[in-house]
Amino acid sequence: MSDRANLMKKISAYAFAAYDWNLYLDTHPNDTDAIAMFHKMADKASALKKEYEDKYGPLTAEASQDMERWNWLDCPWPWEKY
Amino acid sequence: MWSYQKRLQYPVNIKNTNPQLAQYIVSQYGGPNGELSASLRYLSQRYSMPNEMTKGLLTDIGTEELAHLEIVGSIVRQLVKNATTDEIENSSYGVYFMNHGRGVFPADSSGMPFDANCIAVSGDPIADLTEDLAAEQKARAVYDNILRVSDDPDVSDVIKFLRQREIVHFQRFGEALDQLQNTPEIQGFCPGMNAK
Repeated sequence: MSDRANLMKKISAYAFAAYDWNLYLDTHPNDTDAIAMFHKMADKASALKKEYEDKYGPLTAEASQDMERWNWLDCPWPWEKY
Repeated sequence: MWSYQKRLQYPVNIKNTNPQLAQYIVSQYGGPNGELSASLRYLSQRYSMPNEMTKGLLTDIGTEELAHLEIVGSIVRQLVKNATTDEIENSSYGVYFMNHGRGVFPADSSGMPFDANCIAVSGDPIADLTEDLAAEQKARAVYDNILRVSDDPDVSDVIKFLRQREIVHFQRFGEALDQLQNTPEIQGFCPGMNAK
């Protein structure tokens, strides 16, 4: 698997874990252990996303950094194979 | 409002074309128990929900269903993108192909376009959450049917993920319904439920 695909896979895993804690917390808002787990997963996902964006371009339009070219448009788009 | 992240919630990398399978799977794009139906239902029901728990949960699950819609659309597209017209003609996808080519149009597997009649927004939180429990089971059942006919492991892998999410959503909606039914203020909000 390419470095890009590998990094994306890790992002998906941590972001998904954070998201699942998000849903659990929606019905268990006072579970402080769950809140801690959410942040643990979300922080890891954020760090990996930053690493991905530095190497391969923005994951959100707002994160675009290239001042010469609007690289938000760059392929591949998510429904295309990496 | 929504922000878009340029990634899929779960990766889709289908190696082989299969228009017949695409025809079945498109039902989870625009069919009555598919992801468009789910997202529209939850994102619409949330406006009339009575408390922060239900407003938050329906917003969050509704948003995840949009991410699933994108995954299903990606599967359908990848299954037909490089399919030959021969392959397409020799599957029931041929009839869909006439009006949509290798595009992704929201319809069920029989070609019926998406119809909002498949969702209900009653404005009554108990009725709406009960509908949501049924919706998640119906979606899970359709994913079971897809797994029964799929012989493509790349496809089945993603379908299993989507199926598992329906089960988790069912669990969350069950908790929400349970909490709502045990909330004294809500009992007044829903006349007929334990009304004195």
